[in-house]
Amino acid sequence: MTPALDPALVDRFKGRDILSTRDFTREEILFVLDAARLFADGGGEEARPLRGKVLATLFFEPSTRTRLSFEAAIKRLGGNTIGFADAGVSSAAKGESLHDTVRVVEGYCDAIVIRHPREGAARLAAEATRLPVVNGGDGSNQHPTQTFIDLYTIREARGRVSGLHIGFLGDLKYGRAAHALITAAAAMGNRLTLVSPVELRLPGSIMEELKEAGVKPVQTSDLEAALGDLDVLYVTRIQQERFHDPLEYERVRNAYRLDRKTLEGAGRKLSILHPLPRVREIDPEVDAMEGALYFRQAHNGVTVRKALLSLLLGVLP
Amino acid sequence: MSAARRRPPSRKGAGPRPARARTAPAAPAPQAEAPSIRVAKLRNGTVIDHLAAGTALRCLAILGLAPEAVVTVGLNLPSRSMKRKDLLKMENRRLTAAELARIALLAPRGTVCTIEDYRVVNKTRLELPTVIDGVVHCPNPSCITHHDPVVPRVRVDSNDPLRLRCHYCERRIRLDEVEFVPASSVPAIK
Ligand SMILES: [Zn+2]
Repeated sequence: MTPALDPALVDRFKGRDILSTRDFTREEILFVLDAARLFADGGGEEARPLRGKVLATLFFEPSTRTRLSFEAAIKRLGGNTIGFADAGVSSAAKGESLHDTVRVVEGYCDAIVIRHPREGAARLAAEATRLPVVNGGDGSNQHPTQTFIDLYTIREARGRVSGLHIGFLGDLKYGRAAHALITAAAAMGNRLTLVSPVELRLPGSIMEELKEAGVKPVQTSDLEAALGDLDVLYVTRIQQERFHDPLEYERVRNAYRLDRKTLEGAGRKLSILHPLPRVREIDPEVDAMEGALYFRQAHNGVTVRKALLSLLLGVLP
Repeated sequence: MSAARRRPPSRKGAGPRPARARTAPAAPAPQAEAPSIRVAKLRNGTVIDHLAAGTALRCLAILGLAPEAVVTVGLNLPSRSMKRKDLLKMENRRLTAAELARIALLAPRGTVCTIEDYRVVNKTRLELPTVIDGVVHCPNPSCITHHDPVVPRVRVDSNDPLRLRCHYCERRIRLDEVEFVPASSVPAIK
């Protein structure tokens, strides 16, 4: 069953930039999740509504997964892509400003996805062009389509994105995906529990923002004690380069590893998400469990990006 | 597609940042002459009052001083509402909106009087706009504003307490991190 989309909201997304989840109201976030339902499991592809549309993928740092997901999304809707996969082959290597690169590329396409190592690059790119710009990750700042995908996956599994108890596990200090989802989940009205080693706790600035929004997350280092009451667990990768001491890295990595045994204490319906790629945070034996949603989540990436691109280009099936 | 997009691109932020240390000029007037006499004589110009004690020299440094400008600086003056306050009187000087935004960051409770022909023709409280262009550098070293030619822009999330955020990298800027763009490199903002 396809819910009818509010035409006023459809209109609001036409030509719009997707730069940061901060730019969207709660109503707009829920609208994107509704729109994405129309595109689930191959939905919206038959009519090839984006025929003749060109998406430029400007990747100033490599991210194969994100790039492929955007390419799959537009191609499945009949559109096409141009672009580059890392800065070395772009004219940025010759010293061209981002502004100029975008001004040139806007003549070649209908929408732009940008991935850039510098925070704020996507917003700067959006200011250089009249075309809609999608932020495919700007340094440690935002990756809003990932956040929409995470929320979509949670709603698909739990039927809602508010009133849940959501746990976050792993590197909460540097993990961009976790930061954005934590902020969004708090704004949507969820209980939060943050599980990380002390050295990888959520930065004070984000904690302060949550407090301003009236949300007080529980912070703990004890994974097993936290598991019992959770509806959703969002796992992130702990990167070795964050540790000076390799032994410390080993200790932390083993203490925050999910396997069937650790999950014995969890609620039966616990949904497990991970933005992938995983290294060893989740034992492969967990993959077969009902609540293991991370591959579904990756596939939802195409669904949600199909919806967003259609909305921005103003062509809905 | 935001309103910001209409802002013409600017090259002004490019290149190495000039040193911020623009030292305030020494004592305003010869010691023999009481400042109150100079104050009384202000015919045309601007009086910035109710600056937090200790901020006047920083304000002056930010506003910059023309070679022959006549300025009276009052430091730690007794005040009923603030106990101690600072004060600046600048002859023949009108402040632009950009200059007002700069000092509003330092003196959220300040008042500005415009004097014409010895009379106060306008009195306003310093107020922060919701967006401040070309005034504050983002303290985040990996922010795009440090790597591409762009006028730094901060958003004022809240006035009281003062909460600033970089428009580009979205990082919160604490007040003790605020580093001003040198006045000379600020583009004219209408
Ligand atoms: Zn910044």
